Formats: sequence, structure tokens, C-alpha cells
Amino acid sequence: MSEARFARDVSDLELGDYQRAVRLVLRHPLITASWPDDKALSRVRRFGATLRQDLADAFGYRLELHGATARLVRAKDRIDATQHALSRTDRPFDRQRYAYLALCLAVLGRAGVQIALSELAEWVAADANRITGLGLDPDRGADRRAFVDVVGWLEDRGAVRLADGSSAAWASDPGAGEALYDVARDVVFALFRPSRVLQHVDSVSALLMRSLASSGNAERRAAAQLARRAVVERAVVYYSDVDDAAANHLRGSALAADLQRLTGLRVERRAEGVLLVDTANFSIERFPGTGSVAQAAVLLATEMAERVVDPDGRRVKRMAPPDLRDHQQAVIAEIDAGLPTATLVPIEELETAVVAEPDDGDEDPAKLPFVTDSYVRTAVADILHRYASAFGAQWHADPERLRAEAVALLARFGAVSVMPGGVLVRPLVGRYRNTVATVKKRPAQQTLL
Amino acid sequence: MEEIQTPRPAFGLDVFGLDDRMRLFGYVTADNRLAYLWVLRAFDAARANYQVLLHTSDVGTALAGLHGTHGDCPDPADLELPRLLDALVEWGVLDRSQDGTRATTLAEYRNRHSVYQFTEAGFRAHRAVESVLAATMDDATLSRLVFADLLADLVALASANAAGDAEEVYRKLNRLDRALADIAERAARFYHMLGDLSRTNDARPETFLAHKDALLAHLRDFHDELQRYTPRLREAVYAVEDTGLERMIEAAAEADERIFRTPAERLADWGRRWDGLRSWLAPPDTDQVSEADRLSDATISAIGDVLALLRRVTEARRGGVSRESQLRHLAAWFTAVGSQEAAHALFDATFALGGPRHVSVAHGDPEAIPTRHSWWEAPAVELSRTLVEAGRAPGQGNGRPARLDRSPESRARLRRAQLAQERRSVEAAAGLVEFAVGEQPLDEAQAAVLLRLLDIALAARVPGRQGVAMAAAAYGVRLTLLPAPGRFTAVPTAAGTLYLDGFTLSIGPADHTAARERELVAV
Repeated sequence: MSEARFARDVSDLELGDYQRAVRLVLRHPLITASWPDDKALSRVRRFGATLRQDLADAFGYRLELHGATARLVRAKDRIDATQHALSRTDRPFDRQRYAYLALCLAVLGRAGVQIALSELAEWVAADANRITGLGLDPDRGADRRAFVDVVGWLEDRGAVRLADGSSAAWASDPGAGEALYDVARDVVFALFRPSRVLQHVDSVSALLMRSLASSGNAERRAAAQLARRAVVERAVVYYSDVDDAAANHLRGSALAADLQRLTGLRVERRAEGVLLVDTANFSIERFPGTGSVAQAAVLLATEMAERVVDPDGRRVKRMAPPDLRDHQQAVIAEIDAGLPTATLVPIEELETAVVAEPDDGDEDPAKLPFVTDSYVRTAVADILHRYASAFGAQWHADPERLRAEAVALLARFGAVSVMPGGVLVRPLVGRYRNTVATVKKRPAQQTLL
Repeated sequence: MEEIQTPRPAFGLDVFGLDDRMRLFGYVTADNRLAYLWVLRAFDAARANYQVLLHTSDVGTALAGLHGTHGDCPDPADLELPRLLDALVEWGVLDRSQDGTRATTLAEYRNRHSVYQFTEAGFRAHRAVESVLAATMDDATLSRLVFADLLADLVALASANAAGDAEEVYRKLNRLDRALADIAERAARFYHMLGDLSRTNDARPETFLAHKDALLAHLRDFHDELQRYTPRLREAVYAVEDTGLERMIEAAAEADERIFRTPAERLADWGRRWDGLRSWLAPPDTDQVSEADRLSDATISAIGDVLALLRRVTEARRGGVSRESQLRHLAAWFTAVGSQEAAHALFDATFALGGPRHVSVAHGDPEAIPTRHSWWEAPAVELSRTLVEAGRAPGQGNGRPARLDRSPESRARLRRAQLAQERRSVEAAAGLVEFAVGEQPLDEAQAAVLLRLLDIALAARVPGRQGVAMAAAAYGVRLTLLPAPGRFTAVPTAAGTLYLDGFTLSIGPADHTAARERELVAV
């Protein structure tokens, strides 16, 4: 066996631990003494130097180990709207909460060793009230709850630690409740590590990774990193979605070996693309996963697959997939529309913003089968009927929401592309086409009951 | 109360009561307080030149001189000097008297009518104000040199105490006391400075950057020195105490020259001072934090504060953006983005805290499937039935044994409660034997035991067989019910009388049913 390129000085005995550390860092870009748990930091520290080297070489990531934090500064290749912050009650943050989060970090950066919740609120309010459309009024319950959600998020990650009192008491009555927090400066600074100074950018796309390669060698290196990043971050990477250089790396055998050496996970390669099979439960969301929506999604995928390979020979309409970049551009435009110009500090040396364009724009991509919304709706109704007991009353009451969430989940995993009037079924669905065939006998028994 | 009884002094500083003394500072809050301040400074300057009594015109001249050298001194031409002087006299800062020299002209006589000078209290008040005005951060430093002196003094104190040299003990103790007071004062100022430093919002970069190296070096040196000396100082304190604490304090109190204090007061005073010194250098308990340790912690966190400030300052210098302003900019951006989805995307682009998403189920034998196949051609993966049918991960709860919850603590607690209950019953039962039934009402515990025994006895009744004696034994006693037709037994208890119709009752010991003492003691 040839000399491994990664994890070189890690012995075979420790390789499992090392791979665990890699997965841990990839899953949790911020690791503190308390987040995600109290053992994580020591696991990462143990391999600190090797990890830093490997992550930089393999993905172009930067691992920063400061005090009691480990922070993976990622290189981003695309805008991703599916990675949101969650409150403690598992609700995604809204714009107000995101804004409070930014302001809280600003205030905590200059706070002392400790800060009282009302004090923090006061300072955040002072900043928030200067922003049109934001504001923080401690007398308004909604504002208070949003603020407390943000503080809870920070607390979970160890940026602040409750010393006394309770934030819930403050949220219910700011006059009576109060909480005292210890501030962990390291964590506060590690949380926000933008790749560029935000006030210098005139578009969010400037935060994305851009290849600055000048030589052929460096370009190849960058393409290989991009390919590895894509495989390790996304559920499935289709050759048609990346440019030729990256696709070449995806097709090569080195990538699979490298990633297996690094993460301990296996790469699955098919004619359409590549995916990493998560057998170690390291992703933030898995497909097929647990829960009602995930269950509906996997059943829906099966239904779609059946529709596509219909034994009766009914023809499925096929359509060219939409260009992913269009959607990216739409989101970027939406974000840029909100860019505050008043606090922008333009820098003189304006680099020409070359967004690395995948160059397959004029090539006619393979057409994908199109499944209409009405078919999906019928399929969801059927699923609800067949597996009635597995779904809670709220899903039976609102099958449309179940459909929307299941389709959104499939879209997150690159299994479908959402189109007006329906979805395009992408090849990943084929992986799950008749998996439920053996199980299908069960519904027949159930209907007898 | 006592103050009223003491005769009020009639002259000098003592003329100023509490209220008068506080009125001295009235000019500080007056409308044109700066003018008052400069007038007083003029008096102060004149006094420095041995000129004590000033005419109004002299004050004007002195002010004009100050106006020439100090930019913010008001021009005396703009001021109504006589009115200002009168007000100062009113507050008791200045004293007015008549000029004794003869006037040659009427105009001169009018002008020279009054001369002014500082009252003693007024002078002190002015000095106090000036010292506050002149206070700067410069003296808020910690001295690392003092530790060596402390240590030397402690050693000398130990030897003096051992030698029984009372005056030397007093001298050393006095010096230690003063040195410690100095440290405490500096530390107080230092804490203030740290607070200000961490609260500072816009640090002036120039002054800060100019001194940052010196400040950091100073903090580090101080901390090093403190770390180095703390254990040695603690040892020295113990060594001093080993030579006889009480003797030392007595010696110090004896040599104390403060004649207005009673010996007992002096003794208490020196005892208190030594306690203070101890709490600074060597706290009585190991888990108690000494003031020196606290100072050390504060120094460490101060270094962090200074570094954070430094980061802020340097960031602010670089292109006029700081981390803070970036975050505010970002907050405004978040507020204004077009949609919720866009906000999520912006969060990911700026914070990059997301994680990967992956497909989870692997093929049983991945090697067997050629990679050139499409996902549509390759065999599909097999999903577990649980996952598909119930949306639960396979292997949850099925196939695995359930977790056992033994909770030994609560079991032991219940066991203890049970044994205690048993013990109480045995005690009550022992009482039952001694009772001749009917003499004295049974108490609650005894009644409970009796009822329990009756319960057992009656439960053993065989239907259809009457006139048979019934017995039950528990808690070390035996209860026997002998049939006695036509008669009844009355058992008085605390809650009422229990009648047993047709039976007589007898209770005797039954040792074999008593709980083993060993078992009662165990657990």
C-alpha cells in the first residue's frame, strides 16, 4: 500500500480516533469546553497539529485552536440557505434573531468578565434601535423572547455561562427576573470569523471561496480541494453540477481513498456522481432519517422512483434541470438587496469580482424525469393512508405541509429539484427505488384490521 | 449627643462644624464654578509667593497673569470679581478683613476697603478639590518592589518578637501596616482602572498604543513577582506567628505611642491589623482566597482586557472597521434581507457554523456494484422496516435489553424507613406486654400494633369453627384470643375504647418473632 497522503503520523491504532476527530470538527465547526459536549475539545486537541495540516491540505479549511475553543474556518463554495441557527425549541432563527445575535456578539466583545442579562439587553437595544426596522423594546414580549433565544443559543455554545438567575424569569418579567452570565471571550471571538471584512464587500458572493490560483499546479490543487469539500459537505455531488476540473477529481480513485483515510467513511460512486455514505452518524441530518417528515420523504422517494420506472411503460415527461446557479444568483440578489450601504467601507483596490463559473453552461445536460405536484400530493395522501398510525394527528390534518416539508428535505439532499408545478427527480432517488418492496406486504395486513 | 455637650470651640479650624465644612465645597457646584476655581487658584498662586492678603485688584492682577499662561483661565475683565469674592466669603472659603493701611485718596479707600485671604478650612477644601482635579491614571499602578520589603519586615518582625524587643516589634509592625495600606490603596485604584479599561468604548488609540507595551510588561512583571513572593510571604507570616502571636500584639500595643487610646483599644487595634495582614498574605483556610491571590487573578484578567482592547484598537485602525462595527453592519444587513431564506443563507455565509448532510444507509456489499452503473441500475439499498414504517431508527428498543434502574440510594432509603418502622413497632409491642390491659389507655403506636395483631389473628379464623382460641405473634409478642361467651374485653386506647365481644385477650412475649437486633442495626 502506498504512503497515505493524509493522517500520516497517525498510527493505525489511533486512526479510528483520528477519523472521529475529523468528523467531529466537520460536523461542529465550533467546539468549546461545553459544546457540543465536554469531551469533544480534548478529542480534537489530541490531534491538533495533524488535524490542522490535513484539513488545510484536503479542504482548504483553517482550524484555529485558541484557549478553550476549536474553530474550523470553512471555505465556502456556494450560498446555502439550509444551514440555519436553531433556538432551543428547535425553531429556525428569523431575521430579528439573527440581527440580535450579531449585536450580542458585538456587545459581548467589549464586555468584561461578567454581564447581567438586562445590561446586555440594554446595550443591544441601544444598537438595535439605531437600525431601521429592528429595535429591541424590553417591554415587548416578542422582542424579549427573541433576545432570550439568542442568549440561549450563545449559552449552549459556551459563549456565555449562566452564573446566577434565569433568563426565562427575565423573559417573563424583565422587572423581576434577572440573570448573570460569565463571558467566555475566546468563544465570543471564535464564533464570528468571516472570511473577509464585511464592510468591505459589496455582495455576499465576495465571501465565497474564489480560486486565486495562478499556476496549473495550484489550480489542480484548488479543484481537488473543491471536489473533496463538495463530497464531504453535500449529500450527493453530481458530475453535472461541478466544473470539469472538479469532476475529474471526483472520478479519480484518489479522492475516495483520501476521504476514507480522513473520515473513515466510504465514498459511493455511480455514473451520475459521488456521495459519501454516512455510517458513523456524523451529519447534522441524514437521509433516510428518523421522524415523520423524514419517513414521508423516504416513502415519497420510493413513490417517485416507481413513477419514473413505471413497469406499465407510462412515459414520464423529461425536462432539463434548472441551472443551480440561477437559484444561487437569486438568493445572492435577495441578500444583497439588504446590504446596508450607510456603514459600508469600500476599499480602494476593488478586485474584479470573478465568480468562478462552472463552464458547462451551454452544454445540454441530461434531461430529468418530471413529477407533477398533483402526483406528489396523491402519493402523500396514499402514504398517510397506508401508514396512518405512524403519523401524528397534525400531519393528517395538514397533508400539504407534510408534502412541502418532505419535498424540501429531498431537495436539501439533492434528490429532487423543485420546479414550478412539480419536481425533477434526480438520480439519488434511484438509490432508494424499491427498498420498500419487501415491506409492502404489511399494509395489506394492516388494512384488514 | 456628645457633641452638643462639649463646649463649642470659638476660634480656628474648630469653628467649622460639619455643615460649614460641607458648605466649603459649595463653589464646586455653583453656576460659574470655573471662575471660582480660578479665583482660588489665583489666591493659591499668591500664597506660593508669600502674599497672603489680597485686595480685589490684586486678585484681578493675579488672574490676569494666570490668564496669560493658562488658556482656560477666564479673563478677569469679564468677571464680577467682588461678587465672586463675596460668595466665597459666604461659603467660608475666604476670609474678609479690613485693610489696616491708611488710604491716601477716597477712591483708594473705597477700592482697598477689604482684603481677602484663605480661611484654613477653605485652603484645605481647595487643596482637596485640586487633588481630585489633578488625579490621573498614572498612580493607578501596582508596585512590585514592595514585596521584598514586606518579606524583609516580616523576617525582622519574627526575630524581634523572638528576642522580645517590644519597640522593634512595634516599628516593624507599623511599617508592615503602612506598606500593606499602600498596597491596598494601590490595588483599589488598580481595580478601578481595570473596570474603566474594560468599560472603555472608544479608547484613544494614540495614548493607548503608546503605553501598551509598558502596561503589559508592568502587569506581567507584577504578576510574576506576586507569584514568586506569595508562598514566601505566607511562610514568613506563619514563622512570625510561631514566635508567639499574642506576645507580639501585646508588645506592639505596649509600645504604641497613641496616648489617647486605652490599652485595650490598642490591643484590639493591633489584633485587627494583624488579621488584615493575614487575610492579605495568608488566609486561615486553604479554600479561602487571599487578597494577594485575588490581585493576581485580577492582574491576569487585566492582561486579557488589555489585549482585547488592543485588538479593538488595531482593528479600528485597520481601514476604519472594527469587529464591533462589522457586527453592527451585519445586524443591519440581517434586518434588511429580502426573505427568511436569504437570512439563513447570510448566516451561513458569515458564520459558517453549518454541518454536512449525508445519505446514511450503505449497501451490504458495496464492492460488488460496478461504479459505472447509474443509481437507477445499481441495486437499491435496503432500508429497515422500522425506519420506513414508523420513522424510527432501527434497533431502538427492540433487540436490546431494557436498561435496569436499580437506584440503590432510594432502595437503601426505603429499607431504612422500613427498619425504623419495625423498630418502633417492636418498642410499642414491648410496652404492650407490660401493660395489664385496661389499666391505662394504649397510645397510638401500641394501638396500631394491637390492631395489626388482631388482624392477623382474625384472618386465621377458620369458618364454622367457633370456640377455638386464636393467636397471632409478631414484633416479639404473642396475642391470644380466648373465647369467653357472654363476656367482653374492653381495651382503652388513646383514640377510644376497643371492645372485643366474646373474647378475652392476653399478651405475652414471643421472642422468636422479634426482629433480629443485628438486622436492625445493619444498613
